[in-house]
Amino acid sequence: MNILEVKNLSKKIGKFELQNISFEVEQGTVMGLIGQNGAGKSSIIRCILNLFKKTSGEITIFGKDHAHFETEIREDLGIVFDELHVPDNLTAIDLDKIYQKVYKRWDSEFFFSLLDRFDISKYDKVKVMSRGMKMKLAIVLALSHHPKLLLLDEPTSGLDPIVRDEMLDLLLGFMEDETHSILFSSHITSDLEKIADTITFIHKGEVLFTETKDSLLYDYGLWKGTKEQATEIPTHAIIGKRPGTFGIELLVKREFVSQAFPLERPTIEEIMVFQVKGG
Amino acid sequence: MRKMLLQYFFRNMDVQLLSIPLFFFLYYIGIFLLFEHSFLAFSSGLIASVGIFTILFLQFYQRSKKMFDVMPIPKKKLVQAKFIFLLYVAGVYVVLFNILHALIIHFREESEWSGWMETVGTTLLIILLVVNLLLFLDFLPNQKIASMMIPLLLSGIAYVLFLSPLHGLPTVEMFSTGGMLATAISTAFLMTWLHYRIIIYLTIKLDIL
Repeated sequence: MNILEVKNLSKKIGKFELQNISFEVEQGTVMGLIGQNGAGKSSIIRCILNLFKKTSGEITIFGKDHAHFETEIREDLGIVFDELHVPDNLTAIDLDKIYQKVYKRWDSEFFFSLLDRFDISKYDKVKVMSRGMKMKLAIVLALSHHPKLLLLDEPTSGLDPIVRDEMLDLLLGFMEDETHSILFSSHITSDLEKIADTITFIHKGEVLFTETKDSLLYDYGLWKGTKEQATEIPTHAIIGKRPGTFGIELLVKREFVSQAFPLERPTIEEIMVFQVKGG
Repeated sequence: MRKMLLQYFFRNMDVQLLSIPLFFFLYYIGIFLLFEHSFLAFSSGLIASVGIFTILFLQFYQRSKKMFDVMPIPKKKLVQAKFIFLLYVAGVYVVLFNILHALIIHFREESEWSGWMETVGTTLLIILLVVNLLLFLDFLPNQKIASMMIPLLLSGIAYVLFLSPLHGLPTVEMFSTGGMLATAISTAFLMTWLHYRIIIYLTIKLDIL
């Protein structure tokens, strides 16, 4: 069952354009949206949230049109941007009072237990919190009304590894319920390697591919060798190349390369870099 | 939902809500004393109060917008709450200004009000100027803001000079009606700007918001 479906989404924003974006997020899975800065990841999430009006296409969340059922859908959505978007003169206690009047399923007990778990002060105003604290508070706010789908837009960018790890733990805890799903946009691919089931790669406003993380890591191989050796690899197998320690490094499709060529398992980051830079 | 939004707006705008009419009442006294033209003072003071409050409220709302944008609140309700809040405030200001206006008229008829009123008005104006001078000194390292403060101070001095006829000269003979109106408008502008700076000063210094 698909929790989120995006079909042929197009949106023009100044000179930038999202073109025919299509992907689905299945219930119980985590989809990572990867791509360079400015590739269109945030614009897609804003279109999904109807903060940007789409030019054309169809977006359904929980099987309902995202614009017609906007308010109803928001009850089941947890949203985190790359910054905490609340007035900075408020404390966590103030936010609890506001959120409990907005969300039908707001769980104050759960909210304060998460604050305690992550050492977030309930008395401090947002403006005195560190960036890491603010982002942890953002995730706690997004989780405390028990959403079914989390939309995360670069939530870990600019955070130190320890805070990022804590946040990923929190997300893994959220995914223990099989009815929960996450759409996680990031250019920090190591975070996605830890939690994503499928990866959608966005480049210059277009979807380059959507694949499961395992098949992505299995389908591609990283070959390292001299330029002379590289000529023996079929050109249609080569996705991208770059100069390497031994001469050249190639990202190849495993299925087109003979087993005589030893291939390493690439990281998602390497796949992304080779895809963008190409041949 | 609407009740929550209104409570949220009132809670976060309470300082401005109370301080704006106070500052504009000062302006009201100045104009009234100078020109003995209560309608001009009353209407421009009221309009300026509502105007400056609306600007400050919209700035505040902009800071909260991103939070509300992703919440399950119908956009229609948000817009409605904004308008209802501003209507409430305008209503409160109309009532407040009418009460103050009635009180002034009462004092004028019943007692020798102009003497102490002049003193109070001038004292408050001097306080305003001192606060702005402190602002100026506070922001001095920031040259851009400091340069914006200079015309403000000059305007403040001009305003004090402009009030000096209060102490004796028959002002109505000194200015034509057009001059009066122009001066009243510039005074309203100056008071708006002074108030705006003071709100910022209080916000930073006293951590009000």
